[in-house]
Amino acid sequence: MGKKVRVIHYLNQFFAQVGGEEKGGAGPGVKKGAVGPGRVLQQALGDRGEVVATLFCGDNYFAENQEKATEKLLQYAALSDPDLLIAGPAFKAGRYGVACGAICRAAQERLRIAAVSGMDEENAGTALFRKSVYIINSGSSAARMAPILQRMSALGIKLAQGAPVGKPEEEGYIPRGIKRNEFAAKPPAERAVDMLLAKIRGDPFKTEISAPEFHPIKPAKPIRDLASAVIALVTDGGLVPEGNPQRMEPGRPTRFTALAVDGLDRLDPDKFDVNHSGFDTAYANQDPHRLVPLDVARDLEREGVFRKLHDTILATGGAHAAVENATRIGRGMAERLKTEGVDGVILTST
Amino acid sequence: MRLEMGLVHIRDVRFGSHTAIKDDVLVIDRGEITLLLEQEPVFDRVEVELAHPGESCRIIRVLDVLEPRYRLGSPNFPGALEPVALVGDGHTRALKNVLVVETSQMTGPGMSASRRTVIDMSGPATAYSPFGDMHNLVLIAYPVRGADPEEYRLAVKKAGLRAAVYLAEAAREIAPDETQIYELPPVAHNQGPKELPRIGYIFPMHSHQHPTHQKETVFYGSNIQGFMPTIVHPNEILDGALMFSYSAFTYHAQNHPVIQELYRRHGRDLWFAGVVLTVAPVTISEKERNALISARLAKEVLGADGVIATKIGGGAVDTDLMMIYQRCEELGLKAALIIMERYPDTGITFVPPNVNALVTPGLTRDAISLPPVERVVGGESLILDNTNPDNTNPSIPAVPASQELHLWVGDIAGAVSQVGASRLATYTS
Repeated sequence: MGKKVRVIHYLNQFFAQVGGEEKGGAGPGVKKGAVGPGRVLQQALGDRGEVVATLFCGDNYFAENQEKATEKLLQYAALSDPDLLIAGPAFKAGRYGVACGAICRAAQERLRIAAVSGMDEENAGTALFRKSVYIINSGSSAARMAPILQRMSALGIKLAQGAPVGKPEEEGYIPRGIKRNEFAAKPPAERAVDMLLAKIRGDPFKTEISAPEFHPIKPAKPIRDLASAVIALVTDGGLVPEGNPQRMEPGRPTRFTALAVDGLDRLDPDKFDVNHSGFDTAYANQDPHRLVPLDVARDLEREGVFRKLHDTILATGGAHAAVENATRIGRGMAERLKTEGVDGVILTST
Repeated sequence: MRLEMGLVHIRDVRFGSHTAIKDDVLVIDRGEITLLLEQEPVFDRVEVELAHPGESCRIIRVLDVLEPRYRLGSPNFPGALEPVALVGDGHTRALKNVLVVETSQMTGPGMSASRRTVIDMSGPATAYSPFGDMHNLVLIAYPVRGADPEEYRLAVKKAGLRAAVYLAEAAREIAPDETQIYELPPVAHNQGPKELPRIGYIFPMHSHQHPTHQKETVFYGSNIQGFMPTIVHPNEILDGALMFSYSAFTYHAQNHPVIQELYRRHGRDLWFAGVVLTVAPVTISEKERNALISARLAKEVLGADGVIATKIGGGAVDTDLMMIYQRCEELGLKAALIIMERYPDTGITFVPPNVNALVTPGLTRDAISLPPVERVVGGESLILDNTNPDNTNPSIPAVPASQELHLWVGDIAGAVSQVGASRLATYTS
């Protein structure tokens, strides 16, 4: 048994006994020791940990001043030299849940301490923070405060002590969507044959990998008058300036780059590189137009097919992109092009 | 067609004056095998080392792993090492508990895959891979100055085949400890009881997203460029007709997990209908064509009721696998796929909603720490950002390989194989 874990507890104004809905505008504050449900938390921790301070903030205040409130709460937290933050449980209270998730994530990233929250699966905070924060599935009923705090503290102690974390069903947290290995009773070939035979027999079976969920994207309206449109070239094929000065990732992209082509008629292979881990880049490196057709786009511009070719090409290296990152990169590209007055995009992929 | 695989179990391997097997101990004439392997003009010199189970030893820069094999009275690895001939029938000797491990002493295209692949002979890695539990003969071939990286890689692979044959030839006169029979009749006569479902295997052996070298020998010596789906006898894959270009170890063709599993259950709860061998091409129309023809061959030639399919290569082949699945199901065949997971958070992007039978051999990018070792074989350093194994920037400097390494489970040779050799499953945390 290691040393006693120093725990700080985050509550909203109601549970911190500042006041009800009418006190939702209360700013961040701190109290020494455990308050309200914190006493139940202390019982759950037993002699493994001690609730050294309680942080609180009004739900409305937090929602309206998220950055400022987080900043202040982290300052208060740091004073107690904590090992672990327990936030909530927030059950189905959405604003409270979002605050719990945000403060947990900030504590992990900036104070480098363990953090656990508790929420209902339907809580808005769950969707926002389940990937980055362990959230115990609290259900919606606040009557289950004690057993939920039991689970939150058990998982929190494990995280704070660097002990291995079990599966969602063992620990009670909402799956974060992060895959981990485990040793299997049967090898994959045997499991595959078992699955196939069950499928042929019409018996139930369960796939080991589910299809990803994509949110449908509403297509933009068609360009009415192409001759007056500004068109941009965009690629996820990893086009970079020679030598890749910005060190763009060849795969697992987190960002995109903008390449100036103002006044350029062609992509000179000596001035551009193709940097991508998912395909053989030899041919695109020989002639970058095989990836991004600047040459023919210039011809079309000259012929007046469209009014103007945009003066920057946006590029990223799209191999093995996490869907969240790809979504963020795509949104960033679209916002930038929109501000720069671009009407349409030719997107070349690999 | 019947293949009798005579297994000779080896309990120890050492260097000595004359290559021979006696009392289950393989003695290797180090000078003779070195001389044999040095005949490749692209090598300056070759060293061989032994690494034993339980040793505080790490083999690094692993390029390929093979089981020593010797065919009695006919060419070995035909088209790749010896003249073209047919394999998969007759008698073959296999040395068990011994591996030939090729290492890469050169960086360059095609070498990136091996630059941080390791075999640890003790410690946590041995829970993931069987390779550290066997006696490994490690080939360390140094290139001549100015060697072409691709020529070098192909020469290393050829040296590996040569070594595998050289070692197992010592078992030519030895009575095997056990004999595995692999036998499947011609398709026309391959009829089992009505109640047993007929299962086929569709096997894309390579993805041309990384093209093979002109001189590369993948199937019977062919570089398989332009390869069309075809029926092959499963024994040919087990018996040296096939070696992988990248992404998988030849050991797993010789001990193919899906083929062995289908053989194991043949006549029990399924009937092994046969194998369709194919490749993953690069254009949509070629992918579509190969998927269609593969599904048709499985259904109409093999007469299968269901198929297993696996892949070799990067994420691009996921599309081929999904197309094979869909074309099979459209023809009324049930399908299940084995598909490797790479990153914890990305999932498999190309899974259509109606594809519902996937099995994972594990996640490659799962962090693992391997403790320091006393001895490193195959080099001294490896290219790794030991603080962030996800950093694949080609310009990162090398680190000493004997220290504690923080890398991915997928960097342990034999831990996660795309053809389904693994001890792992995954869960969503």
